[in-house]
Amino acid sequence: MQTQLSRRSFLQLTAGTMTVAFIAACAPATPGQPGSSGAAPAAAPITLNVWWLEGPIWEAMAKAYDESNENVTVNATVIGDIVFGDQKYMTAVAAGTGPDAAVQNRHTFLQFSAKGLFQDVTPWMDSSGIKQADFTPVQLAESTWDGKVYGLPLFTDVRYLFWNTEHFEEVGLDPTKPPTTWQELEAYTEKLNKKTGDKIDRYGFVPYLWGNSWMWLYGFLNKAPAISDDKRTILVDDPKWVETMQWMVDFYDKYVGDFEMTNAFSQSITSSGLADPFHAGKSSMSATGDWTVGELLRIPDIKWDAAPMPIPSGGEQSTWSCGYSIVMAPNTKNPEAAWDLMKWTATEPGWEARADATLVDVEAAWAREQIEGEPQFWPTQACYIPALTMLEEKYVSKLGEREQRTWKMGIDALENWTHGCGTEMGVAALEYWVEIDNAARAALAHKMSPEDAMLNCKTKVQEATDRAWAAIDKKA
Amino acid sequence: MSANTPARPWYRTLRGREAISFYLFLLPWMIGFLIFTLGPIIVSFVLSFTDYDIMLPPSFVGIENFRELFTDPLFYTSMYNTVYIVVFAVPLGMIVAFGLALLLNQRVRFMAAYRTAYFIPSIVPAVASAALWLYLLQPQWGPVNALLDSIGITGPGWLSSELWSKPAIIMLMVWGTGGTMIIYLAGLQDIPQSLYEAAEIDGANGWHKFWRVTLPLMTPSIFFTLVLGIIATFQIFAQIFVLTDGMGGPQNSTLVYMIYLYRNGFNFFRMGYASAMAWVLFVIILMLTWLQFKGARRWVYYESESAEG
Repeated sequence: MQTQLSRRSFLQLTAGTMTVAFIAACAPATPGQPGSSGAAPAAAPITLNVWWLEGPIWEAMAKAYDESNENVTVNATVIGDIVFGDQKYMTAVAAGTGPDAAVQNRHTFLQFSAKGLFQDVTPWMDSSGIKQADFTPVQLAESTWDGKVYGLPLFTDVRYLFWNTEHFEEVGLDPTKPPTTWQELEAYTEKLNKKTGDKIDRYGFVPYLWGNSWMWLYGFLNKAPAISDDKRTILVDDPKWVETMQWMVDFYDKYVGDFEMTNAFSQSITSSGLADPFHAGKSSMSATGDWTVGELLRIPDIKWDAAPMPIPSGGEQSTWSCGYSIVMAPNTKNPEAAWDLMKWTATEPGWEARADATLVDVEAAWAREQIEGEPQFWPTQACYIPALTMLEEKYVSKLGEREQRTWKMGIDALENWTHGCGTEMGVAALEYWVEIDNAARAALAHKMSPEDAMLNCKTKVQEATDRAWAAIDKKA
Repeated sequence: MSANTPARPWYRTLRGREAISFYLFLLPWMIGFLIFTLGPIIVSFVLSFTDYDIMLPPSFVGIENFRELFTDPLFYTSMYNTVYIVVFAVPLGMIVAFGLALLLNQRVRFMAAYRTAYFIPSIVPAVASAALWLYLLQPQWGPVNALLDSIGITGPGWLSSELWSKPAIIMLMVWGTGGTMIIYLAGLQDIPQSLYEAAEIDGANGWHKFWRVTLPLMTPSIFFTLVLGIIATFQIFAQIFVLTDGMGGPQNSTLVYMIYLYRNGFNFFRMGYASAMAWVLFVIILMLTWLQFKGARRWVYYESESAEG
């Protein structure tokens, strides 16, 4: 038999339930979720909210930091894909729910620091004995805005020419002598292209589309200026850029062939798990980053070597570097703890923890992929010079002569001949990146002449840069 | 005291109490609607007249955003790409769905299984289906090109080809046409058998039955799916974002309106401009919907209306 609720009791019951549910849903976040910070008094344990990259290496680093610091627990969250700027970080900081510290890319560093998304860490740096001169110069420069340091550069990379020594021998080239000029590069490519009839089976060299060079590498080699010193004028319509672009278009026309097919070819290789057609033996030379050494060490079938990129006549030895820095968010409630973590991560302790964890990861990969020989660990380049020295002494010294030579080349590049992506792109970094890529594709597909493509790029990026500067000047 | 004047306050009358319950039950939804839907709509409208980069407070710029929008070549490119996809994907999707619905309306064994199979693609989440199609459309060793190869056609580069990237997107959308199919199925089952019997008596063959009975009585469902299809397809975003890494495809060939809007808002931090874009799209879709409703009177036949002639 059903009991009848009177209308009044029914309404009261409903109202009561909804109120309880409403309160439960709006309860303050439990400690440990992004957005809440630990209790304030110094002696009480602090939970530091850190947004950084994912994977066992980073988890091991978080654990190592926890163990070395009894007062602080790292609550790490994955920051996601931040190569082209970070919407997650930006919107969280704007809403006041940002983390204490985060990893950020250096392309968009200037753009973000100008907006006040990072906190100035110069006072902490000065008082903690970390010297600015101990960081690689280019990377520190692109973490600096208006004379103040806004983050500690963590890691970086450089780009070289890699080549397949077996392919060289096959076509009668000396495997120890890479091309050193753009003319030699063209001649070598022609020799190395393996064709059946009109179709290319194995590419000698595919600049720009394959590997990791983008247009920047070739522009810098050709001494093309990207931006004025005061970072207000975009210089991508400079004749040197047009010359570079023209060379690229001609190279494709003569030695590579159809732009769309080459693009499709590389897409398919990338998504089937192999990093680069070079790794699959489908191209004989590749302009790509130093991290490739680590990947190639796992593919013993590929016999390779590396050297600085060939230089055009009138050009200069050059490469470019990118990477991540660690920053402090502006509305953090634990600045000292955040600074301590930043310092730890960017200097020797963090790098040692990272190297130890990566070594474990490499050994696991060796076992899993059943690669012959001893696991070989190629470290990522640090931006802190004492850490770089530590990595060289402890880990690179265990590798072969070729790897040690390549490492030393990297150090030389970082200190003397690299360009920083953040420095060269200015305050509208993302727009610059997208537009120069569009310009290159338009020129290569013969939709626009190189002059028009570069001029179009300049117009768009200049507009974006002017707008960004207007906002910065207004804020100042 | 007249009979119409209550002796007690309004909230104690039956009607009053019912009104209070009504509004109380409505309240949770109303609060959610105001805070999460209507509020942002109003804010977005206001923002479309400002320059807002999130970090600094918005600054009023009048109709500058709109003026810039109409001289922005990418506005026209993205609009062209979107319209191209709508013009092909919506009718194709409807035709395929209609055909499937006709097939699935038979009394055949395991019909439930067939219906489920055709419906499942439409409930796969957008990102997952995009990732799936990324694999399917691989030019070198994806199944689609392998299939074409087996009948002697060299498949194009699909997502890396300027010409074929939009057709690839259209394929993806037609593949997900299960929802429309279910609506048509319901519509087909609503058609009274007596009409078919009457037609047969009058000597109608299969084609006549389809053209004179099925199709006219399906026009309400067709109209419904047409309107909703156009509204939804104009706003396509997630699949294309995943397929092209947010870049809008080779040479901006898959830069649809919403991708361009996202780029302006979240990559370039121009929230005011992006809001202006959103409102322009709203007006365009509104006009198209109004036009469709106006035209509906000519071809949509509602059975409940009295027949004329």
